[in-house]
Amino acid sequence: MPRVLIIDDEEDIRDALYDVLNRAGFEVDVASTGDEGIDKLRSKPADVIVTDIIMPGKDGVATIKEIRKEFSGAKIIAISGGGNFGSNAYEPNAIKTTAYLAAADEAGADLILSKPFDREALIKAIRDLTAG
Amino acid sequence: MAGKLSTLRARLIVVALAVHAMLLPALFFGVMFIVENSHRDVFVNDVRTHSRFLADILSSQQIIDSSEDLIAWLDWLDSVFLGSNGVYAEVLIGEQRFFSTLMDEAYFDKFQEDFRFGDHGDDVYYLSMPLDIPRHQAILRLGFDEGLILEEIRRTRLRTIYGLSAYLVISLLLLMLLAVRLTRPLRTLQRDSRAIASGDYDTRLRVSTKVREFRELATDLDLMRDTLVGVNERLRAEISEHLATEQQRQTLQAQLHHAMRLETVGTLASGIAHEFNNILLPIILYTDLALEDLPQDSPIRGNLERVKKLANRAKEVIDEILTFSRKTVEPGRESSDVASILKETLVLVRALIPATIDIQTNIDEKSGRVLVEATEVQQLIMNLCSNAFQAMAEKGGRLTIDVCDVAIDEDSDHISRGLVPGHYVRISVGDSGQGIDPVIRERIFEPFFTTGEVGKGTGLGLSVVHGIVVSHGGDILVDSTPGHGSTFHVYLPQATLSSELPAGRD
Repeated sequence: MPRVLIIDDEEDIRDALYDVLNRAGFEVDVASTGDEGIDKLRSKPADVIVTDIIMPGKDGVATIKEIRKEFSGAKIIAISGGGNFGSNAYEPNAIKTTAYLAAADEAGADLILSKPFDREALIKAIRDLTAG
Repeated sequence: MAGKLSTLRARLIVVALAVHAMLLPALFFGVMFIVENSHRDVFVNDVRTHSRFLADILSSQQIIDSSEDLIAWLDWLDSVFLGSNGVYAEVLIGEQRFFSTLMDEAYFDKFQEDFRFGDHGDDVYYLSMPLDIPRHQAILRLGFDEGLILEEIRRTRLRTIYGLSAYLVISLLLLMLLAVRLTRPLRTLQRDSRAIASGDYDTRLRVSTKVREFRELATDLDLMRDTLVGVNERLRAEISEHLATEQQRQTLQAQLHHAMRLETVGTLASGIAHEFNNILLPIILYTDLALEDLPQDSPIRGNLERVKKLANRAKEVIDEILTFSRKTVEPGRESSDVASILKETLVLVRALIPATIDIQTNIDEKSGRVLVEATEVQQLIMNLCSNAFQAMAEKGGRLTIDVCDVAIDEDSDHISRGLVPGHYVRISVGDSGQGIDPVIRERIFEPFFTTGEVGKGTGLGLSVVHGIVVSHGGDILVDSTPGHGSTFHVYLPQATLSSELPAGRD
């Protein structure tokens, strides 16, 4: 049972993602800031970390970099409200047209999903990342 | 009076009169002086010679010795005198005076000692001749009539006066003629140069005179006029240039402001988009969850699915706004599929244009790729659609958007409009509005040109479109029928294989 950590500063998003992933059968934990998330990871590591990019305080890019450093095996999905060309399905090769998406990519995110996405997309992404 | 005296004519006449006023009297008196003197001299000489002659005769013939002889001689003299100008004769011997018996007694006391010509009032010239006779102190005294001579002088004076008057009149007439002949060309020159001063540069200075100074003046004024025209033209050209530069500056400034506004809008849009996306995510996710909870045949399912669809559409609109308003990370031209850029832009267009306008599209999926700056093409399409919408804002209508490949060859009449032969992707945006008046058709791509009301539109939309099209090496043509609508055809050159840039994807 893959364990997922959700890091996002919006409560509604945390709740929605929790409900969705919980129903899908994952073990879910939430954090509202990057630091809180990293703390939780230290006490209980996760297989997949779903993190928002634009957050007050430590933003997603920095969080990703730290997580990469500490937990090299973890899979990281960056989610962003910045939008990009195209649909809401996840596209691994989507054009990274925003600076922060590109930064997230460079920081070491395995996947980028742009908000809003539907639950199938997220679930598929997590399954793909934990499959291999 | 002073005004009248300042003309050339008046001055010439005044000067002439003044000169003559001094000259003519001088001439007159000069002539008279000479004439009078000469007459007098002649008269006096004549008279003296005559007298001398008589005196010699008297002296030589011893007539003096006898009084009777003397008186007889005087009588003879008197009669002879009658034929000439002598009027008086007496001989004085000692104290005794002898007169002719024929002489009028009235003359006896007439002799006066003054011997000046013309001064006596009786017009007689007296003179005395001493006789050369031994033993006697004898003097012959004679009087001659000045009358004829004086008459002669008078006549001469009159003739001189007549002559000088005639001269004065003729010379004044000639002078006036001269004045006229001088002032006429001057007046003509004056009139012509006034014409030039008031802006008529085509008048040549005509002057029909043989006077060299006037001809040269006319030539010089012509030269001046040409120089003036030249200077004027240069000034005009300079001013036009300045105005053009100024206008250019204003256009650039307006574009800069526009760009700056767009940047602010972009930043704003980014923030808004981000917020909206954050809100949409839970909406979609919870709708998904609700759908999952519903039984398969529930009537509520339809509503929830519709909610989800709309939320997705909201996301697309926001994406378009975002893409449209922000700069690309890698600015520059990429080989892009026009059809797909158009489809994405259409999402926004459909969202922004009200339902009174029917949107029809005909997009050839296989149309070629163009080397474009994607956001510029989006802006182009947005501006054309906005323009079309404005044309149909009041009554509604149909907006058509077509994309297809077009090949321009040597024969097309597009060549005449400046399109180089080759392959193009043509984007056509048409409306069913009131069309474009042929009179203003030339001007619609001018910056700031707008037929809308004040406050509606900056007039920059179509000029920006034109700028984008031209900078991509294409062209834009307008097809319009007043009353039926307009279609804008944008031709963008297709990217050839060698010109396609690497797509920058991972």
